Amino acid sequence: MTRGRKMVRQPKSGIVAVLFSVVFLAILTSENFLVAGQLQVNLGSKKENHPVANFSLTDQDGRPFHLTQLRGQAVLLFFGYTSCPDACPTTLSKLSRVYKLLSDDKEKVVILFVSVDPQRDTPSVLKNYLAYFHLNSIGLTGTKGQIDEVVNQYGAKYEIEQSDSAAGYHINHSTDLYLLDQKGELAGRFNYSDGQQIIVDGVRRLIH
Amino acid sequence: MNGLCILLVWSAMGLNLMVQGSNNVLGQIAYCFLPDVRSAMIKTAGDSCALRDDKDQIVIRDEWIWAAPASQKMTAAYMVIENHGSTEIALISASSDASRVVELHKMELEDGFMRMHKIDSIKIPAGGIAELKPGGYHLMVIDLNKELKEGDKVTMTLQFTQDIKRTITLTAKRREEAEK
Repeated sequence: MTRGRKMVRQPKSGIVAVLFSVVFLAILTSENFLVAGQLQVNLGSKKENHPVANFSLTDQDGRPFHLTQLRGQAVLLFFGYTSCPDACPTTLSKLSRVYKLLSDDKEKVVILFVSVDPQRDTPSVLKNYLAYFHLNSIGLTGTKGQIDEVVNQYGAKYEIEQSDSAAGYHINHSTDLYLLDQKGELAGRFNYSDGQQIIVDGVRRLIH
Repeated sequence: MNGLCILLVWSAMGLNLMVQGSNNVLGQIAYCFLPDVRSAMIKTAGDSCALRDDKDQIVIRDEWIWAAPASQKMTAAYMVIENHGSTEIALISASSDASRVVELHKMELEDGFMRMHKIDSIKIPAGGIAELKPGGYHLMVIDLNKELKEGDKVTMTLQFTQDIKRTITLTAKRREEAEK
C-alpha cells in the first residue's frame, strides 16, 4: 500500500515539478517581455523628447517648405527618387488606391515625397512626376545636407550605388511610409508590404 | 530523316491524346509525367531536325510595361516566362524599339531596405517559370525615345540561351491598374 502511495505520489511530484518549471519559465518569459516592452517605451519616449515635428526643405514649386505648414493635417511621408523604377512607383500607386478608399477623408491627408536624389530631382521634375499619380502630394528636395537631416530624423536610410547600368547611378533606400499626426509628430510607420487597407485603417484611426 | 521526325511528333501527340483520354489510375499517373515525355520527344525531334527553337518551349504571358510619367526617361517591363522544355533556359538580354537600352534588374527587399542590382541573366528552370514582377525581377527600359501613354504598344526582343529569341508586344499600363 505504501509502495502504492509512493507510486501515486511520484507522478504528482512530477506534475508539481512540471508546473513549477512552467510557472518559472512564464515568469522568465514575461520578464523578458517586459524588458522588451520597456525598451519600446523608452524608444517611444526618446522620440517624444526629441519630437520630429518640423523640418525645412524646398517644395516642388521651388518655394521653402516647413512641416509646420501642414499643422491640422495628417501626413504620409516617404523617401524615394523619381528615376526609381520599382519601389517608389509601387508605393505611389498603392497610395493612389489608398486615396480612393479614403474618399471624403482624403482631404485631411497630405503625401510628402522626399527625394534622396537632389542631383536629378529638381522641383520641376518632382512636380511633373507626382502630377501623374493624382494625389494630394508635395514633392520635396533640398541640399544633400538638408535631406540627410530629414532622413536621420525618421531613422530612414539610403545609399547611392554607382553601377555599370546605362541608367547611371541608382539609389538603394528604405521603403517605410511614415504617418505623422496633425501636430507633425510621428504617429505610425507602415512597412512596404502593408497593403492599402492597413494604411487606410491607420489613417482613419488618426483623423477620427 | 523528316519522316522519322514526323513519326516521333505524331507518336507523341498520339500518346498525349491516348493518356488524356484515359480515366484509369495508370493513365493519370502517366499523364503526370507526360510533360517530360512530351518535351523529351520534342527535344529529340528538334535535335535531329534543327527545330530547336520550338515555338512552344518558351511561353510569355501577362506582359506589361509601366506607362510612366511623361518626365520619365526610363520605365520597367514585367511578364511571366514559362519554360516548357526539359532543360534550364536563361534570359540573357533584351532590346526594344522604344528605348536605347534594356537591362535585366533585380530588386531585393531586406529589413525594409530596397536594393537594386543589374544582373546578367534570369534563369527559367526546366518545366518552371520566371516571374518578372514589382519587387522582384524587371526589365529596365532606359532612355525612352517617346512618352509611353496608357495603351501604347512596345515591341521587345528577348534573347535566351540555346539561341532562342522571342519578340513580344507589351501594352503600357498604369501601375495602379496592373498591380491591383
